[in-house]
Amino acid sequence: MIKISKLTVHYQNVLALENVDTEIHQGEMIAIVGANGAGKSTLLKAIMAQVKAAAGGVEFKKFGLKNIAYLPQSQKVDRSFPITVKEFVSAGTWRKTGLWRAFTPFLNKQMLACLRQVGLENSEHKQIGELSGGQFQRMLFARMLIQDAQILILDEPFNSVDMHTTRDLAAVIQGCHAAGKTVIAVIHDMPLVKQYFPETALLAGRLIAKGPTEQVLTQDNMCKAGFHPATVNEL
Amino acid sequence: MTNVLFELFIEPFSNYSFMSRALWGCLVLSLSAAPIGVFLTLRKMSLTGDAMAHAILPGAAVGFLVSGLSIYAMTIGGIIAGCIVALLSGFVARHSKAEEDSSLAAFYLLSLAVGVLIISSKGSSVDLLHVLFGSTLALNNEALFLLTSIATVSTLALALVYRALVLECVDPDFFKTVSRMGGAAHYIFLLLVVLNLVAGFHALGTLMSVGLMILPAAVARFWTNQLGPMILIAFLCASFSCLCGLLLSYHFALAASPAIILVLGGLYITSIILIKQRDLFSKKHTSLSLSGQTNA
Repeated sequence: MIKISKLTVHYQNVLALENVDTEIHQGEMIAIVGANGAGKSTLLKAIMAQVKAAAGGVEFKKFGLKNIAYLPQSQKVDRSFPITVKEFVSAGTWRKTGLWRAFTPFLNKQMLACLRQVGLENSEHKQIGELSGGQFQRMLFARMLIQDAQILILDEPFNSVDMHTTRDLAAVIQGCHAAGKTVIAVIHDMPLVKQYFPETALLAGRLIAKGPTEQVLTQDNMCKAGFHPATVNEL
Repeated sequence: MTNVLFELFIEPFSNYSFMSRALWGCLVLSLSAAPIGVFLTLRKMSLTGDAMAHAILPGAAVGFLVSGLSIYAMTIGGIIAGCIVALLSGFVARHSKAEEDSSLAAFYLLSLAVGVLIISSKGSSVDLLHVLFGSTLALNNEALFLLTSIATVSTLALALVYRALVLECVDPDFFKTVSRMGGAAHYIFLLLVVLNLVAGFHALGTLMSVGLMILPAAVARFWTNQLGPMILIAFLCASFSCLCGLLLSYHFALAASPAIILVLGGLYITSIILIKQRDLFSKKHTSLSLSGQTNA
C-alpha cells in the first residue's frame, strides 16, 4: 500500500499539489486524471521521491521505492541517441547489473521475452531512432516489464499511439494488474480511463475525488477539476 | 619511391624528437578527448565545451602569474577555473531566469577577458600566444607526463561511468528512478571535459583544444549511428588529423595546432560532401528501381 498523507509540493513559488491525502492499495489499477497543470506528474514524482514535499509525505507498506518501475513520457527520451533497442531495454536491469555487472544470458532471455510480450520480437538490434512512435512506446513498456517491479508508474503511456498499439499496451497493463501488481497511470484520454481503469483519482492541484472510475468521473467532479464544459458533456 | 615516402612520413618523427614528442602528446590526447567529444556532441553540449575551453584561461593565467610558464601551476589553475565556471553557470541557470547557454556564454566571455588581461599585463605577447594557441612542437617531458596521466585517468573514469552516462543522456527521468548516480555521472563527465581541455591547452592552446574533441565526434556522427563505432571513428579521425597536421606543419612551416584543426575541418567538410553524394545516389537508385517496377 502507498499512503499519501497531506502531501504539499511547491516548485519554487508555485504550488503544484496541496494537501493530497489518499491511499493506493496493493494490486489497485488507478488512473490519475486532471487538466493541464493539475499536478498529475508531480504526484507521480512525489511517489517516486523525485520531488521534495513541502509538507506531508508518501509512505510505503510492504513494497518500497526499489519495487517501482517507471514509464516516462516518450518525448522526454532522447531518441537521437545512438543506442539499440536491446541496450535501451536492458537499462531496466540496472538494479541487477549496475555500473559493472554483466548482462547475463539469463537477463538477455528475459529481455527477449519482454520484447516478445510487447510485440517487438526481432527488433533488438534496431537503433531506437529507427522505431515508429508506436514501436517506441512498446519498447518503453518492455523496459518497464523487465524491471519486474510490484508497482508500475506510467506517465501518459498511450500518448501519440494508434488504437491498435493502445489496445495491445492496455492488455499488457491489464496482465500486470491481473498478476497482482499495482498500476498507477497518468491518462489524458477519458474514454480510455473508463475502458481500462477501475479506479480513478481526479486532481486539480488538490485531490477532487478518488474511487471507482464511474463515481469519480461525474460532470460535477469534472467541472470542479476545471475541465472544459465540452469535455464534460462528452462523458 | 620508398625513400620519398620515408622522407615525407617517417623521417620528421625519427630524426626530430620534438616531432615524435608532439605526436605522442597529440595521440594520447586523441585517445581521451575524442570519446569525451562524442558524448559532448550527443548531449548537444558542443558549445558548452567551447565555452569551458575559454573559461580555463583565467585559471591558467593566475598560474602563470604565480610561477610563470610552469605547467603544473597553469594546469591546476585551469582545472579550478574550469570547474568553477561549469558549476556557476549551472547554478545561475537553475536559480535565475537566464538560460544555461546564455549564462555559460556570459561566464566564458568574462573569463576570456580576465585571462587575456592578466597574461597581457604581466607577460609578453609570446606568452599570450603560447596559452591561446599552445606549443605542440615544444612539449617537454613534464608536459608529456601530464598529458599521458590525464589521458589515462580520463579514459579509465569514462569507462567506469560509461553505462551511467549513457542512461543519463538517453533518459534522465527514468535513470533517476533506478539510481542516484545520474548527477554524479554528469559532474564526473564535466570534470573530464575540464581535465581534457586543460590537457589540450598545453598542446593546442585554449582556443584550439576543444577542436580535438568536437570535430572528430562531428565527423564520426556522419558515418555511423552506433555509439561504440562512433567513439572508435572519432579517435581514428583525431589521430589521423594529428599525424597529418604535424606533417603539414613540418613540411610547410605552419603553426601545428591550427594545422591539426584544419585537417579535422577538411575531414568534416569531406564527410558532408560524401554523405550528400551517397544520399543522392541512393535516392536515384531507389527512384530508378521504382520506375523499373512500374514499367514492368
